[in-house]
Amino acid sequence: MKSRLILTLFVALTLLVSGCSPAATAAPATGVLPTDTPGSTSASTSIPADPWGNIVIPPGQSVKVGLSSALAGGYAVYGTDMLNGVDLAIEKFGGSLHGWTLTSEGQDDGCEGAAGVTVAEQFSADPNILGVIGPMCSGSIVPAEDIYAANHVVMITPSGTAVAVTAQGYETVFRTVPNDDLQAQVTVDYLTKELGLTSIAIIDDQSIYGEGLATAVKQKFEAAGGTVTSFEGINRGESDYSAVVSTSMTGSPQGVYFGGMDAEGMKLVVQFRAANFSGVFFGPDGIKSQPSFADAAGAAAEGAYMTFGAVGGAAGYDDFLAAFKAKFGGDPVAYGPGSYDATLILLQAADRVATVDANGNLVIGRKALADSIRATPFTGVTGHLEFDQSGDLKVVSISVFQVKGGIITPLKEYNFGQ
Amino acid sequence: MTLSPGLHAFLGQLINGLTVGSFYALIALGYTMVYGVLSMVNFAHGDIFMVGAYCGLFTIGRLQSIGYLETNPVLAIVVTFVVGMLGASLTGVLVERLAYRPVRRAGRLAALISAIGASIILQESVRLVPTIFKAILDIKIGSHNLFPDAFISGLLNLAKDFGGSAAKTYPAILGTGGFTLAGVFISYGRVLIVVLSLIIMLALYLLVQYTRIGRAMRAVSEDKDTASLMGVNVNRTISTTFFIGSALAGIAGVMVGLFYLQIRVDMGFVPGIKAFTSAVLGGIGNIPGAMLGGYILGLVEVLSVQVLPAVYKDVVAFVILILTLIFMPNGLLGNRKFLKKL
Repeated sequence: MKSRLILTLFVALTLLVSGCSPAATAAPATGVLPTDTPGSTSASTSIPADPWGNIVIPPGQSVKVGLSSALAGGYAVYGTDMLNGVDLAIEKFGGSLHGWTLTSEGQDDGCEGAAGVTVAEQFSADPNILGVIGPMCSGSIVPAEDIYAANHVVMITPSGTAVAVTAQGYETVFRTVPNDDLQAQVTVDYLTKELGLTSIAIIDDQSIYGEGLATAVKQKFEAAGGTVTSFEGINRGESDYSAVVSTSMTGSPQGVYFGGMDAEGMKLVVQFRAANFSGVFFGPDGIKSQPSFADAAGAAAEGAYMTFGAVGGAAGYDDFLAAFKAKFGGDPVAYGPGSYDATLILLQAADRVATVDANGNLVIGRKALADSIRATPFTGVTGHLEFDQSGDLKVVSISVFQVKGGIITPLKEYNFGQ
Repeated sequence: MTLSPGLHAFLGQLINGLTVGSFYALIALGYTMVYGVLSMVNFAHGDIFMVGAYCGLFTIGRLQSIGYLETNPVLAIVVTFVVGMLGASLTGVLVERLAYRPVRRAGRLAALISAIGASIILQESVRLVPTIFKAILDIKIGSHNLFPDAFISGLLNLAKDFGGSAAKTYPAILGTGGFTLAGVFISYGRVLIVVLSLIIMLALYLLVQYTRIGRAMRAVSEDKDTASLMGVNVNRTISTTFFIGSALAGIAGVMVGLFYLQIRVDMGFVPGIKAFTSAVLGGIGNIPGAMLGGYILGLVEVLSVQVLPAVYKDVVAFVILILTLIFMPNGLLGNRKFLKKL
């Protein structure tokens, strides 16, 4: 009887725990369609064979740019911003590629691993997909990039910052943002040198992104001689974080670092201020959102700091901003400009390598496309973007921002890789 | 007055637990009241809580846009509560009428499946409001829109404020002000939630114990057939029970919006399960039991964070549910009658 009880409890707990960790339930890369290689069977002989096969689009069909991001739920503010960036880029590009109509296809991955994999399988199986912008979150990218790589689908993420994103050595993976090792370095540098903090509490959202950042900040802060008074994880999507707010404040830290996204960051800053915490609140690019962090938290967000791969200052940004406002009726939130640049990188590379075969199909070599993206530096509205062998940017800059008078305002810029 | 850090932390968590417990208790009451009269678990109750939050958001958004929230915040909040409450109540009554009454005699399983269906329909309806509105407004006669452009854009704006798949935020009006008691900082928002919840629960208790309709509810919960022989209108009493239980969930929904700011269409699921746990812990079918269960669950969950990693909070709550079901299936204050029905 007793052993049966223990077994029951164990099974129940296992179910609960596995249900709580989306990262653990990432689907294996099964059921993926093989790469289409009609180039080898078509009558044409003038089209060079691509080692990864070709994207072949018959006349009259559209060429699709995929976007994998959170388009519903708590992080939709970021994901919708990205979709806007993609749409604006397609419009800027003229709406067509060698006469084939360009369209965007946004799929919701909820910023989660399992859904990211589903979207990756869907896009990989779609013969009209030219390439994919995103996924938005590192937690989706890490499991999904296996599928994109296996199907030779190019993905350019304008937002996936975790170190792991480009660590798997895939030739199909690119990102237009600095990685979190640099972001953590900037964070600790600012916390210790500019703000003079010696003790912080750290909270993360248990995602590949948030936990990776929080761990890096912890290591670097301790290496800089600081004390981390507590290191706690929270579940995404909850309302009440007051218990973890109280435990974090027990060690009387001078500041709090949160590794995670806008929805939880907003609730945390509100609940920290409602618990009378007057120290520094510091977060990553995941909370640099005017509507869903600064506006949503209202007075509680005042004075909060965040880091972000710098945007703006680049030539053409003002024109981009004007066009964005005219089309969508508001400012870009965070990764709209990055998605715009990533889409243009993809489209320009496709423009360079695309040919039309004897049957009138548009043919784009998959490897040729990836190689062209890697080989060609691009200057966009977020600055000079040039990829290295791993798909990371050669030159990056990260800025520290602060909410001042309710508005997210840049304070200091750090440059790397010059 | 100085307290040891341990006691200080404990007192702080106590306040947090009372706040969380208030939400659980308010939602748990709806579960327990419905279980009382129908002996079924209303799994759509969490979504009725969500509908309340959205109705509140819609109201407070409108009041903010006409500037009334700034000029008369107290009355604006009261109106928000009333609309959230009514929205949830009407939804609850509708769910009972459409999803439960037709299958009332068809057995427990039919009612349970109907409840799960109602839950999905409520969630998806709120999610699809803007889409549906847009589809209706896009209807064209020939090349002309059926509705004038200004009307379309106005209505679309309203719909956008109501539902949709993206999370929505309440305006941050409660602020972060508060006072310090025995070295523990208590925000006014928490006081509002705990005090308001206690007043509502007391009112409910008095209503059930000392009014005609309360007596009818207790009679129906005791024995539906005998109650109807004694002249109690059973259908009306069940509708009233849904109305009141859903009103409490609606109030909880508006409070969540005001206090935690962000609401989503799937926000009802976890609190719904937690509140169900509270109801079971207190003894399902028992009204004071649901209140007690809610506060116990809130406190245990929050205090567990003092000793366990914070991510195990939910595990603690559900272990409590399992342990209650194994060792004490009729709960803390539950009576034998419901055990028999289980």
